[in-house]
Amino acid sequence: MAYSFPEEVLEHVFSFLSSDRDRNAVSLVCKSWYEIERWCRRRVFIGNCYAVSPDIVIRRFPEVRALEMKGKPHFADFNLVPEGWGAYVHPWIRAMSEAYPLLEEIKLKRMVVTDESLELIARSFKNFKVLVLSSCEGFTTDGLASIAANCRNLRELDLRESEVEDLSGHWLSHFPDNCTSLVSLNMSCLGSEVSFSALERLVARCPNLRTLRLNRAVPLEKLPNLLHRAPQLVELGTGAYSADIRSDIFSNLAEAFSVCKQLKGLSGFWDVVPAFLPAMYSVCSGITSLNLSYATIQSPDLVKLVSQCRNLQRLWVLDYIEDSGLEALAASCKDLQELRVFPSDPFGAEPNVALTEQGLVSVSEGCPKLQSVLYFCRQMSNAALVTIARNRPEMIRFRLCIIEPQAPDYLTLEPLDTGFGAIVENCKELRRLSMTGLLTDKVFEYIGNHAKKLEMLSIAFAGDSDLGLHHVLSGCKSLRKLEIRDCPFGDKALLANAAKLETMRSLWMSSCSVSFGACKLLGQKMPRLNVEVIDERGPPDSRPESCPVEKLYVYRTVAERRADMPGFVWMMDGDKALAFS
Amino acid sequence: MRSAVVSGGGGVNSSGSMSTLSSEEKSMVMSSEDSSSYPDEPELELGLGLSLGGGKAKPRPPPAKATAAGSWDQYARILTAKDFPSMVSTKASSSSSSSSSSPVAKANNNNGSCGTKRTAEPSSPPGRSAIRKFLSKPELIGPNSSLIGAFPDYCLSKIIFLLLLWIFHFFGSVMAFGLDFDMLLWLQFQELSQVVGWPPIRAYRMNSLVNHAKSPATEESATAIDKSKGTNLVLDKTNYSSNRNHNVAKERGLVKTSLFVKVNTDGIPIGRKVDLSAHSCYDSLAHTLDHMFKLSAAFGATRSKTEEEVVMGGIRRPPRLLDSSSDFVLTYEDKEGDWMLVGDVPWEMFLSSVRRLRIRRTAEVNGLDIGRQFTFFPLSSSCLELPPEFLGL
Repeated sequence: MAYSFPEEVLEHVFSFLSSDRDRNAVSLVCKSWYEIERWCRRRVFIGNCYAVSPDIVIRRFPEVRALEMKGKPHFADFNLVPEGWGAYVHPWIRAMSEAYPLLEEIKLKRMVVTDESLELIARSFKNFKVLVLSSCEGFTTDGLASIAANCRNLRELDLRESEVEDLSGHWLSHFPDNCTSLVSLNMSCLGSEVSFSALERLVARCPNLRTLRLNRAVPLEKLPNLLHRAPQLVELGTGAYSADIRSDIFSNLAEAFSVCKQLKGLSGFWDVVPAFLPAMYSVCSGITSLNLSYATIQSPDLVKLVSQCRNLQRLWVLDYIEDSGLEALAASCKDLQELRVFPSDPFGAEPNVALTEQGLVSVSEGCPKLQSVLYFCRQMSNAALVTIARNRPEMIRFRLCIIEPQAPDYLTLEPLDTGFGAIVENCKELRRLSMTGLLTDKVFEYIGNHAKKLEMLSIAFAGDSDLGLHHVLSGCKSLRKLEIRDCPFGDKALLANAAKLETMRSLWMSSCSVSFGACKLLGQKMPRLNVEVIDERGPPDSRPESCPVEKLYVYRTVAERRADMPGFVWMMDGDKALAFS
Repeated sequence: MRSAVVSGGGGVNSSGSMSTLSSEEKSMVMSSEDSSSYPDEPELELGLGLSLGGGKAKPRPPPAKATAAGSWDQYARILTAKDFPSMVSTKASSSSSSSSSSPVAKANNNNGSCGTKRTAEPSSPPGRSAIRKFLSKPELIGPNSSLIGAFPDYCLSKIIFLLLLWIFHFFGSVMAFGLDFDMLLWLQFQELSQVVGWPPIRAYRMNSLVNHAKSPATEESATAIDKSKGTNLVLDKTNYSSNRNHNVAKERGLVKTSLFVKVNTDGIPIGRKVDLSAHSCYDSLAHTLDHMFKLSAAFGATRSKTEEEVVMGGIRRPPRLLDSSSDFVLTYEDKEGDWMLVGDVPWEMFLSSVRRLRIRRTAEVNGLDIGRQFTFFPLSSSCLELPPEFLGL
């Protein structure tokens, strides 16, 4: 009975569905459900901005209020994607400015955003509330000024890790005096100093402010002024954590911290002067997230701080913490879920700190809830990896970076196949894996056989032959993103598993052995994939077909060929003539 | 960001042209060619009936030969893997006669063997020069001391060479006007940074590390001093509309009138900062940038056909940055966002309108890069900087 439920009832029921997967499933039930669902979908997530076009999205979902979108492939973070590749958001903003006047949220990651786009956002969406620009670039503080000035109901302005052209700190002063709606402000990536009094007043008049991440230029001695005006803060990012060593500065700071009883997250900590760390001790017991990844303080100071944070769930830290510090962490922070250890001296020839695989092993032993790891180190052994795997079978994200490419097990000099094999075998819930070290095809066999829930895999300098890639593509059922650099993978595995690529979001291969001919073939045979050859040496057809391409980016798409390709990107599709325009 | 491998350590170029491979590299490459019959490679069925004619994408196994180079390969399997036989043979024949002193950067042209390659762009483990690996592995030196016995001259001369070069650069750079501490650190960065994007750390974080390079132990005293200067600076800086990077200037406790702008070079992922107010004319700026980015060395490496020339980097007078004969072009972005060639306007006018600098590679000429027909960087303002809307696309 197609008309047993009035549409409004169904709409109401659907409003409880937040997950995209559920909504997609619902829309496949029947035509009327498809129609009802599409009219009431408010949030759209687009994992690859080129997988679909603005028109298609707008046509299907006419009442969207929140858009979340990602642009460049992940390896763009490491400068592997040349500048000018794409991921421009402006066409989207233009289309949405007409179609979605009630748009409230835009969250972008790795996209190119211009001041023009920001101005258009500020002008077009009267009820605009949330702007999150994560690792974006292409805009200046002028664009921020127009957002600040025009978005009267702005709740979130989060610029995490974006590259902003810093013309001046004046943009902050553009928040009108009647703006009281801010809940979250993250300007940690900016360099310029903002007017402190404007910042103070802004903070004071926004009673709902929960997250405030300052930039490095905000001096420590002024931090208490802000904390006193926002004692309800839940997340704080300090500016530079250094000042003249004076007792009045210290006591002001300590007092200010003690007032913030709701603080759960701390970050910032550039230029830390250890003498000021104890000022924070009063809040440590409530801290669940601590980002010390810019804090160049040594292990003893780190340990003193961290061991106060008994409820810590997430810790980002530099490798100054050393094995001893990690042991202490394992002893005191039993709720730890996520650990990231960054290298303080990635290019040094010799290790500058006593951080080895042992630190990670201790944490895996001591922290029963550990599920997410990003670890940079200089040596690793199969034994350690096996131990970690056995200790933490519920691991979800495991990213290991041994700084030296192709480093073998330092004890046995063997490849690390066994170790990573143990990881995928034991950790059945593993969703993300990044591997480094000396690895042969064997490890890919293990991955193909065991990593059934793996969604994202990053490989560098690994493998022996196409068989490795074949194992991964044929075995990993849940694979969505695969990124490979500098591996001897060629045409065979790619072509043999071409159909798999349509089930994935994207594949990135750079400095591998995929020939131009294979790329062409792939593009011709798979019309629903965009096969992009990125090659800065000139047109690929000026070289033999067997010549490997520099970089290959393959992604599924329902959009037409993109019109914004720069001169070093060639689209492989059926029409050979178009392929080299 | 385009990244070329800068030939750090004064060495070999990595500008991709096979003609600069040393004999060592060539022999390795040749030997891998010879062992092309890799018996155990299983054949993959091409399920979709897709097939290629004569695809040569066979990954190369470590050469079984016990050549001097071969004994490293168990740790460097992929390093030597990927050159195509056809390309290798044509290039090899036109290559230079190389001296015995060896390459620093194994710019392994795994992709680049065909036609030109920008300086070892997708340099595979290339950046981990075999030398570096060799030197950094104590276990190779200990139990496998036969390796040392095998070519003492090779590694000794290499060490001495590297040491000399480092000293040369150190003193040379101290004399360059506008040197900052970063430069010395950058010298350390050279080798590993020859591999693009390795280790996988975001640029955001890397820049932070560079600024942190002063040892944390001394920071306490340093910051205390800087802070007192810092507070004064803050007040002055707000009036300085054309100033960037307030924090950096503050940290270094520098003079109020510093004007730091970012400088990026094609091929180097990490940008640098240069204090324009420390210069009074274009020449000194060019000289500094030359030094900073090792342009002459890179250039010298590109042009030179012999190892000696490369090794002796400084002997040939390298073309200066602003010469039209240079391989590089210095451009700047002005207040309007346009990219202009540096040198056209009076120095003071330049100072007042410059926002940031970029050193671009000119089209590679003189038959160095065979087959390259494309210029990616027109000398006028780069269309790659602007999103397509502005180009009327």
